[in-house]
Amino acid sequence: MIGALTLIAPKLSVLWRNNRAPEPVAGRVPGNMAIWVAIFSEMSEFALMFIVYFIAKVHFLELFNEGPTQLNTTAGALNTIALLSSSYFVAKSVQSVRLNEIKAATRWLWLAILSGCCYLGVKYWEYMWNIKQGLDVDTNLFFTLYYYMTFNHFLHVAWGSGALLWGIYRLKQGAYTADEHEGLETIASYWHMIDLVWIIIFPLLYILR
Amino acid sequence: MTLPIRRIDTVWLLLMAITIGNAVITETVEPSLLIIVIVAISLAFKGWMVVGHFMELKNANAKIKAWMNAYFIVIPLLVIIIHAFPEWIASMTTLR
Repeated sequence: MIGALTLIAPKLSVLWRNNRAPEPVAGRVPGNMAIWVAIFSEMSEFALMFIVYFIAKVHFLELFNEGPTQLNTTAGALNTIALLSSSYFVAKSVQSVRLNEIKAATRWLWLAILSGCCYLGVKYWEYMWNIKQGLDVDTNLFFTLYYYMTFNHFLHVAWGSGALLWGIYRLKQGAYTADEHEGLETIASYWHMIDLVWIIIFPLLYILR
Repeated sequence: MTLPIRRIDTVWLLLMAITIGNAVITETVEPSLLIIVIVAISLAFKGWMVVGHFMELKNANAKIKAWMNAYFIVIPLLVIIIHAFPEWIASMTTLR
């Protein structure tokens, strides 16, 4: 155990070694403009789902108050922690690149992918758990919306993780440096959007009753 | 100019604490409008933290920042409104 810690400690210390990074220029657009078009499109799509949820809820109050009590709140909270952490790891990766700490940036991205995979694993387990409880897409309107929203989001996490893998590949190729890392910022902005959407989905489906 | 990296470490820990706190509160306390308001404010706060610190929009393009922050004002407000006035919203959204 102590031997393992001795091996890991120097690698972890690289991640936290620097505590200051160059501040981005004020007023700039993080990443490229095209990703912001995609981000606003995706957020509009999810906003539409949230509005449908709100309208359905006021028309079927009992159903929507009972729905969250049937879901596994622990799985929802674990997934929130996984996604918030992955977002944090991605932000640390971008800051590491600004310090030209390419190895540390790569490690942070691997941690982000690991968190993304944790999310996917927990969500898959949760779907199986739901099915064992007899809660499927046809159970009632609450569960139809639950599956539609969460599976849509699940797909975003899956292909977002693919984008993070691409970021690691580009880092290893030497494509990102302290001066030029727009591509990594673009991937990071998209990943943060995925996290933001879950920040809303979690209370709507698991907490509010 | 330098940006303190430790700030996002603090934000991350704060977000974790709020998430766990929200889950514990709603599992242990009877649902009420006060709880809804607390959850909605937490939702707005978490959104602004991610937008400002992780997405780095705090000092970025003003329009993008404004739209992103507005998203996390409108949705929490809607959360409060639909829980405070469900019948009114239901009557407004009923096809006659």
